[in-house]
Amino acid sequence: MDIRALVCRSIIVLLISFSGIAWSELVIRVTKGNDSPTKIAISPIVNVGNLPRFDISRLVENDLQRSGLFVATPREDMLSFPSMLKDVYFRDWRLLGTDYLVIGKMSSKGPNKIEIEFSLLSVASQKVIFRHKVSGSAAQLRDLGHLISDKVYNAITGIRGIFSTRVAYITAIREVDGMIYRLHVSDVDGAREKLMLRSHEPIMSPSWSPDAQKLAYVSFETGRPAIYTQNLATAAREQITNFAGLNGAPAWSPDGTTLALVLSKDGNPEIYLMDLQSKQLNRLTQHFSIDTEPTWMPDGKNLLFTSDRGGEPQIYKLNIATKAIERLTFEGNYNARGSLAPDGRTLAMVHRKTGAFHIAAFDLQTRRIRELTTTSLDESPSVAPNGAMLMYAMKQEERGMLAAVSLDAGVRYILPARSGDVREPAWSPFIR
Amino acid sequence: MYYLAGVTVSGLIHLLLVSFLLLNWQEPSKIIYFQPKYIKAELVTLSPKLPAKSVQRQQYDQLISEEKQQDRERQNRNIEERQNAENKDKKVAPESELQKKKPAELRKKERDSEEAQRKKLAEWESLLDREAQELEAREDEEVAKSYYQIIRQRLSDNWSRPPSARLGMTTKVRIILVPTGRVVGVVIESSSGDLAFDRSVEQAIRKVNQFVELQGMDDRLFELRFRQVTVLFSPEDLRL
Repeated sequence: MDIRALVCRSIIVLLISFSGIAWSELVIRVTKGNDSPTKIAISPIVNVGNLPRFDISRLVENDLQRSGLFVATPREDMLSFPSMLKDVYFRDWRLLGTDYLVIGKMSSKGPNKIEIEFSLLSVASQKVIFRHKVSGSAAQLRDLGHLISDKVYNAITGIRGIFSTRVAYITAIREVDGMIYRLHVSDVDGAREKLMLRSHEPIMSPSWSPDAQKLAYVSFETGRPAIYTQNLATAAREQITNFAGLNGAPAWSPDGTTLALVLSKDGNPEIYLMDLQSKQLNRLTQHFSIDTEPTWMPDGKNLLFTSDRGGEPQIYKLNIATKAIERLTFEGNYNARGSLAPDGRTLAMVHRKTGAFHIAAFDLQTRRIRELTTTSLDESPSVAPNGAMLMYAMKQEERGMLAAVSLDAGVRYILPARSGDVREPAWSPFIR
Repeated sequence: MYYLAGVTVSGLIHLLLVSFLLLNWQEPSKIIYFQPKYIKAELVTLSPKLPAKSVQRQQYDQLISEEKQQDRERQNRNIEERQNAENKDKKVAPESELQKKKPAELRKKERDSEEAQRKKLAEWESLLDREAQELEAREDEEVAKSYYQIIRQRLSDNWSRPPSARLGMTTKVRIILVPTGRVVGVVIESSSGDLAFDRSVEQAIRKVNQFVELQGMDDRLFELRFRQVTVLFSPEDLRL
């Protein structure tokens, strides 16, 4: 009987210990999601007083939709246009399937000062996520709208909004007196285009200074390529280089003191650094093949560049201090024109594997390439300062257009069409 | 003349009334308590289900019945002995002390063994109780798992991660439910560190709003496992 009891007891103890293991698993783990655009409703911002009639809510709607991460609830579906919290009936918005709601009102604060008070509400949780005020002059209504978009985008997506940033690009239009090249700067939505330079000769490679105050570019206006910098506010220009041969591909260092550029004054295209104060040059590459298109790593200590030293254009990494060079891309027979995301990890570039040129993202850590576009002849990618999107030049019906694609390849949109060819977009850094 | 009494009385009454008015007197208001005739409620006892009799249980029952019988027999014997002893005592009152000592020792021994047996029984009893609880818990576990699966699926379907979401981010939340399956509270127990990620988690739960499938659940199980549910949101299907 003793043995029997012992056996029974041990079985029971075993059972208890086993079920004890099963018991501890009380937490539900959710590891998958269903990433779909967030549904947001922008209730028309109420205009209190005699203010310029401008549909700022529509601007915010368009901004958010263009990011691909949002779908706006159509205004005609809205049951009410609340501007204050007490007028919000969450049930109505829930029925429309809206996740978030933006309400606000615009009022006049003194001469030529407009204040917009706006709130972001979560419909599902029925609470206020934030309440903000922005103010500016009547001429700045667009800026205020983009600011609202930035705030809303940031709160929901967790990344900084780029609606207040700008883009530089070059147009080429055939006019009566021949081909006219222009350098423009506009808002990222294509509005408020500002002409920086008009020339009969080509303009190339616009590049933003890190403070977004200046542009560097290559202009052939003297008949030969030369690098210039230009202040956006004052339009003042300065010629930086005028060497024999090629002067190209300027790129500002992250601290804004140095320009990386390509010169062929010593034979074939090599990468140099130029101190913008002293104009002192520092040659970085020594190779008989073409080295071009330098891009700064965020640390300011390394450059990425394109070289055909391996027989075909590929991306290489260069340590500025040691001048050590490492080849990064091996996949595909053409990888060039790198533009690095601010995290220093994702490189957007022009990539060719078989026939067509696509924009692809190269992960510097995993060394894997993802194709982002499907059209052919895509060129000149430029990553947005928040790393979520990039702009590139593409061909549509034989015309150059600008398009934007999210780095997760979810959305693509083409910037408003204009006459002539549009090429070489350069997305500005964040504007403070 | 005979009006005098009436006039004085009425005058007094008027005086009284006027004084009441002046003093702002009010009839003390009565608070009426409504007493319900009976309280319509039932006492709910959550009696645990009786687990199926296991093999050990049967063995145990057998053992108990055997032991009980033994006990009974022993008791009978004791009684007989005692009666005999008493009879003897009556017959031969002050006999030798040896005879007296012997039954006392015997009795002590018997008592000890009985106590040991009782202890053993108690031990058995508690072990079996625990076993029964375990069995029930495991049964619950099986049912609960299917509900967990439903909850996981519904949350997954409604979870739209922000682009700032990265592999390795984890948000732990406690969802507070009512028996209809409706979400009445969401508590972030540990944040991922990314505000937008946390918000997407809460949004997913709020979007589900009600886990309709939980309505048919056993009350006891709901109270035990689903009044509060802890959920860990950590993406594994992201690129970065």
